[in-house]
Amino acid sequence: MRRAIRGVSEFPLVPRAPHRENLSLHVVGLALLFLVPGMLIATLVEWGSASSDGEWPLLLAALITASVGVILFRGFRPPDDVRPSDVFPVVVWTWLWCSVLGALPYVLDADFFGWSQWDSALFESISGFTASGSTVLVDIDAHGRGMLLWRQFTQWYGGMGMVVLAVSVLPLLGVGGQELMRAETPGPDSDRLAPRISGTAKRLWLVYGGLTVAIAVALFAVPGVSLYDAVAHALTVAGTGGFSPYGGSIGHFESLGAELVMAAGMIAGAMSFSLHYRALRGDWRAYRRASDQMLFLKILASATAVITLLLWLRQGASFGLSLRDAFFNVVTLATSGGFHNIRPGGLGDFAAWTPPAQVVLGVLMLIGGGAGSTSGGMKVFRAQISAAHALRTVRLARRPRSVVPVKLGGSVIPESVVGRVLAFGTLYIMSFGVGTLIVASLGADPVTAVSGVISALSNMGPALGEAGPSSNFTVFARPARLVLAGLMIVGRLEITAVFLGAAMIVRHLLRHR
Amino acid sequence: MTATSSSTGFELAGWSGWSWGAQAVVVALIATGGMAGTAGGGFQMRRAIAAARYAYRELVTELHPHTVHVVKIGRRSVAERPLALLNGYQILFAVAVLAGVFGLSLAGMDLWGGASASISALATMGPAPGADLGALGGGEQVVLAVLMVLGRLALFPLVVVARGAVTGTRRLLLVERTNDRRAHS
Repeated sequence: MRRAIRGVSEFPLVPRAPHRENLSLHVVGLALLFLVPGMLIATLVEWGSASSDGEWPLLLAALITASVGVILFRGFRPPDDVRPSDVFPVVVWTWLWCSVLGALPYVLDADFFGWSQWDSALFESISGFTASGSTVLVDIDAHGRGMLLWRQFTQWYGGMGMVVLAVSVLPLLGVGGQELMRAETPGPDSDRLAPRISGTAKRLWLVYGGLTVAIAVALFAVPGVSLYDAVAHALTVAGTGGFSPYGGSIGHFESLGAELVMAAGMIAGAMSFSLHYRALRGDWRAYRRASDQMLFLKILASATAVITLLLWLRQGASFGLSLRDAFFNVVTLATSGGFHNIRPGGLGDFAAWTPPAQVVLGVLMLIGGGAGSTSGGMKVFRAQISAAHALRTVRLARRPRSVVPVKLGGSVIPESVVGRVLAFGTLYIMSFGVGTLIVASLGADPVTAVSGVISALSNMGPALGEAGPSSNFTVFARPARLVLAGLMIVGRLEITAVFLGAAMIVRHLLRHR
Repeated sequence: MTATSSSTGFELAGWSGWSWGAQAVVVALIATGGMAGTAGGGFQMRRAIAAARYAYRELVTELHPHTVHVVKIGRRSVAERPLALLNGYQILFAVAVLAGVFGLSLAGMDLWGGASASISALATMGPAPGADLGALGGGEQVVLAVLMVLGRLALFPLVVVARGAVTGTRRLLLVERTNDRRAHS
């Protein structure tokens, strides 16, 4: 239809459309517009709290974001047909623009970071949007409630993804929309929940919003949790982010009830949202059919058991306390949440746990949650496919001419998917190796560097060693922090999208110089 | 450095005085190791190059789904079968390192020493930065010894043995040789 009109428009009597064709900037504009309500809500909260005056930076940031968003959205129109390869620059640009403009409140407020610490502001913003939860903010409790709420909001937006949010209202046709979502959503393929791709995106965001409200209500029911606390934490629990408006994270409440609610919320956030949607429609067996989601629950259970035993027998803590802290920290690390429950008399500081328990935690960080969830890491299905492939190669070594398919939950995985997973593994190890070398040569000790890079790549939050939960990422040198922030985006967009998007952007810039 | 990446294991100056970055580079070199077909241990250069090329191929395929792209080392193309074996080897290598670190830390080593020692043992290197190998207990020695044998025999044979196929080993060594030959033809 559009194409036909464009054909006509080459006839001189019909005027050309006034604006230029650029899918990336069109989507970026829309995504930025979606950030504005979050900033405005944070402004209102800041206005309401007497202790601080961060409302003007927030309001100014909201105005700038809104105007940039309108200019880009109205100034550029999407092309008539979107090719699969067009989507990677879109995703990369959206994440860069959102991270930069999302850092505006932090730099505009001189009490928060100010312009002199622009890199810290950018780190905090990227750590927010990628739902990592690593922080370089010192003395968190001293800052205004509104500014801290915006920090929570960034994780909520980034959890499900700004591109998915934009797609939910864009009338994109053809394979483009589907590919666009696939580039941002963790997992092999995004499930089709509705005939239109925007319908699928809308349903995913509705389920996500519903989960957030449910967590907020459940948290509010816990004694000692205020409405602000409940909302602020629900925003980051659903996105398995890890930011908390308190320096003490969940340990601030010293409440088993709050820990259990948050753990349940994080587990829900680390499972496929399209399965949640199907379950809400009455198909509860959908979970059963997804073998990676069931395996994820089994991993949680067995890791909890192992760590409980290690803490109980090796560190001499009581069984009940071991179980409580093992469970909460296994959940928060496996779902890549990254909250911590350090409190007096507890075992929350996992960087001080016995080394074998820390190795288990490191493996949990690497594996991450289920496909189609808001969690980070390499995802359980990739671990499954990799393991199946490794076992297959052992069989191939014995019987070199046999043909062995890789199976997952009874169904055969196509070789193209297996290849993509294996390439992902190589790229992951390469990013990990290069990142660790850079961070270590900038002065971090090996355990801190290795765990910091794993934490950034799997969007976890705290690391081990010096950057453990009782500390923060200010232990890294300032250039190292920017490297880690870059790795967070690489991890959030699951590597492929970043590599391809960056390559295509560079090629495009070179061609149109 | 030469001693490290060729997995000779001659101890030069003590590593403990080096900066963290230099120690990390040493461990990365140990992990990559020497060339194929030589006495160097580790993951080996040829495997690392092939794995990187394979990943690049998959990236290109993501952009152009119908492309046919042959992985090459130097000017020789690598057949698909050895590539598949290679990726499996990579996964087993990573799992072995993780299992080694877990075992060593269970026996009482700290994390960095455990990681560096298990990579070093898998690569049949010997000394490892950050780990005092002279002061090991019995548990650590057993774990490291198992890793060294794993690394020397290139993982596959031992995994096959572990799956209860003692007779497979002889055939397997033949298979690896044919695969290598196929890779070069």
